Amino acid sequence: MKNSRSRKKRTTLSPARKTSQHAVAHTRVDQTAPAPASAPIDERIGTFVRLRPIRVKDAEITLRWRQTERAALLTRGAQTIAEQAAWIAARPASEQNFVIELRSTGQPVGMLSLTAIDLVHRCAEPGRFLIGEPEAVRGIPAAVEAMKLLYELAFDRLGLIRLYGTIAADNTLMLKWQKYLGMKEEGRLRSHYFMNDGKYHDAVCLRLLVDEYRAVTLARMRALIAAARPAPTRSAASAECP
Amino acid sequence: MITGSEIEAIIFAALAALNAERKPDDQIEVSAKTLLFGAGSKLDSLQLVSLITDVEVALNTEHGLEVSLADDRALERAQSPYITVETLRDYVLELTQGA
Repeated sequence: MKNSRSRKKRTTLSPARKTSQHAVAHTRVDQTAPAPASAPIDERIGTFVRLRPIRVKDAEITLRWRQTERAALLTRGAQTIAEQAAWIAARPASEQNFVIELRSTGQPVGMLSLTAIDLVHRCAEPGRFLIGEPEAVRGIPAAVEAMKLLYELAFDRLGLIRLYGTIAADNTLMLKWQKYLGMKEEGRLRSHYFMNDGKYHDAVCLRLLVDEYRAVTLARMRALIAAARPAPTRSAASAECP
Repeated sequence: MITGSEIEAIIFAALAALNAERKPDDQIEVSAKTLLFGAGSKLDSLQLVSLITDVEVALNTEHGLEVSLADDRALERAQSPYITVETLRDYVLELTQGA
């Protein structure tokens, strides 16, 4: 469903298209499929956060986030602002890359992406998920809501039936999180990733099918997002309402 | 039947597991009044899920209870059950006594 808050700017992606299997797949889009991945990227708006398309000028902040300790278990990427800017500019049409912003302040707090979007096989890979400003999201269901908005894009707007991905085996918090939200383990790739910590890590393969999303994930996400609602009455246990 | 004290102990253990991965100067207080989620709390949503997962697993492995803490029932409550350790304890007690 197209978001009624129209974007103020369109993200300009690199006109260069990879002659990859995924790029070729996009030229054979099912006529009955919903909006193709190559359509202009819209914002996705939730209660607590907004996903907006990543821009070249986000290079500095996103690079800083990727160089924090929290990003140690992400794959190694750009090492300079110029490299990060070039990487952002070169994003292909088979990806949708977002910055997560708090709705209350507009502060950018993280990023995540939907990559390898394949409308023929109806699958894609969520990833590059990083909360870069952890202090700003304490007590706010930013991560859950951001992922929910991405899943809605994937399953509801793009009509995908399968999401998949890999997570470093040492990233126990993220693995626990993804599995609780419905992802199922499908396998393990040994020494698959060379991470920011300078080591090789196994990768755990996960998947989420659309029926699993509707049966399990949605209810849990809704409950977790509602977890941040303020207490109805003031008490010794409640903090100030935001 | 599981008691409130036993449930509280499970929640405390889950908080201790989170603290083991936090810096010494960023530890979460472990008490019945500890804020779990919402304004003023120290947990983000990844850590809340980790805590919920640990509590559900412990309830199952230690007490043979199948409890789902994050579902539509939690959503329907006027007050979030995750505000404090106390509110979560009481919610778990309600779910287990009603099972």
